[in-house]
Amino acid sequence: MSQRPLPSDHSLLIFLLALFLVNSPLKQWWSALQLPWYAMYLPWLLIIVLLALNLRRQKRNTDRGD
Amino acid sequence: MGIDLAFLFVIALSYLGLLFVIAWCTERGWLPDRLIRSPLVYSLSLGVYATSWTYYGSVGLADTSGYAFITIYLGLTGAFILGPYLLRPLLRLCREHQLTSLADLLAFRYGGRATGFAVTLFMLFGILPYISLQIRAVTESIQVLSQRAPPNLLALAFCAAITGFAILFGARHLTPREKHHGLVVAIAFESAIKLVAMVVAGLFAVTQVFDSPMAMSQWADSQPGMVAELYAPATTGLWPTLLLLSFCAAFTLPRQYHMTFTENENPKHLNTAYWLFPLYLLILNLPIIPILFAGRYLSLSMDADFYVLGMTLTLGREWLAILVFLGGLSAASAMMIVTTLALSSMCMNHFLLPAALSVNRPRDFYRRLLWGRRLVIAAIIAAGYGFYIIIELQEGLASLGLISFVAAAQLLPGIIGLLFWARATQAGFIAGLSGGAFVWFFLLIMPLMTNRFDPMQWLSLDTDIWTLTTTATLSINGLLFVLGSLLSRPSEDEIAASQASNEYAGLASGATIAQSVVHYRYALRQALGSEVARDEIARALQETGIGKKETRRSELRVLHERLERNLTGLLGPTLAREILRRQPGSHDGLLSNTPDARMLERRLQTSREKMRGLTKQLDDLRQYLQDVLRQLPLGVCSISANGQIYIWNSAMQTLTGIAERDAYDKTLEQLEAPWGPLLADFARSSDDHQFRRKAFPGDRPTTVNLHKADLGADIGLSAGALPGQVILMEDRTDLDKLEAELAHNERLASIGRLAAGVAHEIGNPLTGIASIAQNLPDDIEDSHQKPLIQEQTDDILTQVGRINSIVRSLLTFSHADAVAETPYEAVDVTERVREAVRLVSLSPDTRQLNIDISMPDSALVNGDANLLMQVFVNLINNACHASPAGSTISIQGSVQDSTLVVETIDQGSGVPPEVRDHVFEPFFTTKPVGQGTGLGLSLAYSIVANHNGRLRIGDSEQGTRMIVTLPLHDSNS
Repeated sequence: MSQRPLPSDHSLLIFLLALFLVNSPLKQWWSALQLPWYAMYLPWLLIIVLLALNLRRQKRNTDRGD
Repeated sequence: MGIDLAFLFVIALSYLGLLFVIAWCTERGWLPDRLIRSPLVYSLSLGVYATSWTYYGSVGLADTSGYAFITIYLGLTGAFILGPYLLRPLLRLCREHQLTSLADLLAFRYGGRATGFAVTLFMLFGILPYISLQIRAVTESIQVLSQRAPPNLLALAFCAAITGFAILFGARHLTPREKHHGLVVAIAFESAIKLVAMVVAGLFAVTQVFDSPMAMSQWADSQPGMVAELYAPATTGLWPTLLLLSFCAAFTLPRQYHMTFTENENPKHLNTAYWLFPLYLLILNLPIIPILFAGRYLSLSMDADFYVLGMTLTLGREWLAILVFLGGLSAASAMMIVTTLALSSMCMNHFLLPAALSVNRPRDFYRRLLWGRRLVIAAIIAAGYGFYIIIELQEGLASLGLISFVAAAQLLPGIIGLLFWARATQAGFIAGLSGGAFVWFFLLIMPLMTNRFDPMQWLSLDTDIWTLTTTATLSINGLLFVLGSLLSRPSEDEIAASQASNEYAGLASGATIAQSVVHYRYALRQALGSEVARDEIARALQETGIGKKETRRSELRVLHERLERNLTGLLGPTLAREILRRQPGSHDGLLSNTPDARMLERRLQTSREKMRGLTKQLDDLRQYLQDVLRQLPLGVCSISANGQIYIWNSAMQTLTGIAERDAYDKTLEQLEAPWGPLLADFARSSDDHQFRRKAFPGDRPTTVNLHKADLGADIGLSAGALPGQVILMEDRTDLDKLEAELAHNERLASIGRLAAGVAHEIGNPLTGIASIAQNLPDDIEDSHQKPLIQEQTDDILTQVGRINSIVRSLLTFSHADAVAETPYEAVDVTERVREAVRLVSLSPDTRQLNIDISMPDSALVNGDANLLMQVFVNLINNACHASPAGSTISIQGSVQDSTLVVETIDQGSGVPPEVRDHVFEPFFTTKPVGQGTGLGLSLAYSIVANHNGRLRIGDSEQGTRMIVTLPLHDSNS
């Protein structure tokens, strides 16, 4: 049986990363940083890019018949 | 200076008219199919999530709670990140079981009418504030634009237009199980308009209100603490609360469920939506802060919810104001249309249909269903309008939206139980939902109805209302859900639905007790009338490829499942199950508790790709054992306790000529003769083994050994099991032939030994007799008697010569086997045949016959030249004796693969069928007594056999065809 992680496993990782960025004790730190107004959108965009890359990888694997 | 109210009204109606046109063109197939069924359209249609609350209310929420508004989208993004674990299984369930609404989904898992009823009732109440919010947003936006208080008539007209659209394009089909492509494209178009309007408004704020992004940033930085205040709510309790609520909203809001699952055209589109929909939301939210800054910069004296309209009007950009208004109209109308469709489906399946069907059997059921749906749509929008009129709404748009979010979140424990907890029960779900709903009503609706009740003051808690209500409702809901589930026992339906939800496809696995398709038609006719029964049965038969006269239970079980799925799409899971239980004269329904093993097997086959880990390994093992059983070169047949065949392997099919599909599910008695009666007789008998049972399928007599064993209950499936018998059938027809051949050879060998002894014993006295007879005339002195004696002596010597000939034949025959021990050499058979013909031609019997030889130029075999010539001499001799004068004997040789085939064909009377089996036996002859010893053919047979060849009688229209087959000489050996 293949032990390679599936794209859904990576989704879990991305979710944990998102949780860490927006709803962890880390927010105490970044909310006090005097960030510019648009900074809030950057981690959101990062997560979307990671999701898209993960899905693209999944599609490539599916096309390859993995 | 405001925009003319009538103008706005016309604009709004024209826009809704455009939606009609788009939906209409889609339904007519005038738009490219590739576009309609694209993942882009699907992802955009999910934008129904962004209602007028998002559109207008986000700026208002940003004004009071900073970046808290963004959590409404971040939570939903989280749900899409976890799509493979949350959305994908729900989509699979929804598609496989045609669960067209949340109430259907939960009623499917937590079986019974009560679940569907409770969910529908609560959703209706929970979503009404949200619908009224949309009406209010539209009317208030008109108020801002026209700077006049619009009459309630305007709101009513808006509701009427929305009702018309929802009825025309959402309730266009008879049943909710069909996709509404027109609706999906129209909603996607509305999402695109919302996005364009919001982005243009954002750009306007940045470039027109502030001149440039830099100028806006500088202004924001110049406002003391303004940007920092935006981030401040991240550390409050509101932040995780809103994240959780919006996370739940992705699958607990009726409109999201409807667009994500019910209207999903292709499951692969969900993969694109995982990232494209969050990206859509991000872009939609990007302008919120610039619009907020613009409103503050312009010091607009209005509710921050409508800054987006205010700034455009203040700067005199009426065209932009109208575009923004259309975006808001899109947001409100899309939400109302989809929500009412989803709620109408729930109301039909869980309020109206159960009530209507319990009263009488409806006539013209489909038409009534359609009109029922339309009326429910109108009633829901009217209720929303009523809520808007009656309740004096002082709250902001975001607050009204959040009330509905908290309500929808009450389905979270149920959904979690559905996906991950097999022990969850209906009692637990209803207890949890009731508890959560009660607290929700108490904390959020009561204050709306009366200003005298403020729970925050009453409870004196240092937290916001949303955190309080979310925590309180979900805690009580979850606690009661778990307690109720643990204190009650899951029903059979719940266990089956839990397996279907948590593992792999499939409903209850019980075997059907229906005898034929007619049973199902009867059950459906009783409940839904003959028209629906006819149509639904025809539809299910067509989809499954099952014939009208099918009686096999495995196939009827497939039909049952298909009917249940189709009826679920039409009536919801609860009614579908109930209807299929209306078995005449029984309360047990059309399914028994005994599992249908073939059904389980089918599900396992279709679910193999989804298996992982131990389950996968166990299934691989199951597959391996099944293959072993199938490919076993021994007939295997297993029958269940009720006598139905379950396993009928490939050897059984080859042996009996009965295909597995024809045997499966039948009783042994139902199989065609001779196998049916034979196996049934054996199954009934007390013998565990029966040997050499004869059967005559067609022309070929077959001999079989039969063995059987009782299957222990421990091998059976759970809850009912399949004990019974396994029968093994061993074909020994070929073995019998081989044994007969061996016996024949042994007999020949015995005769050979006997012949050798006899020849030896006879030879010596015969020599004596011949010597005495030869000398006898010399011993007679009487010259008169001497001629007579001489004549008699000659007779004696002639007879002695005959006896001697027989003795020589016997000796030759007896030595045939012994010769095999001498080393063989390459012998040219063609040469031997010609030599044999030459020898036979010396006999006077052959002078009137033509011998036609057609042999290969050279045909080498391994053997003894003299013995092989003896074979052909015997065969040609026999042919000569059998042939009438003037006829032709044909000797044909040919090389086929690695063997030489020589045929001698005469034109005699042939070998009668009754003596065919005996011609190779020693001393068997058809010649008159004294003319043949009966050893020629048996001798030839033995010689050919000793050369690893075969001598047989072939079929011939006239005369006899003797065929000698010999392996060719292999120069390598």
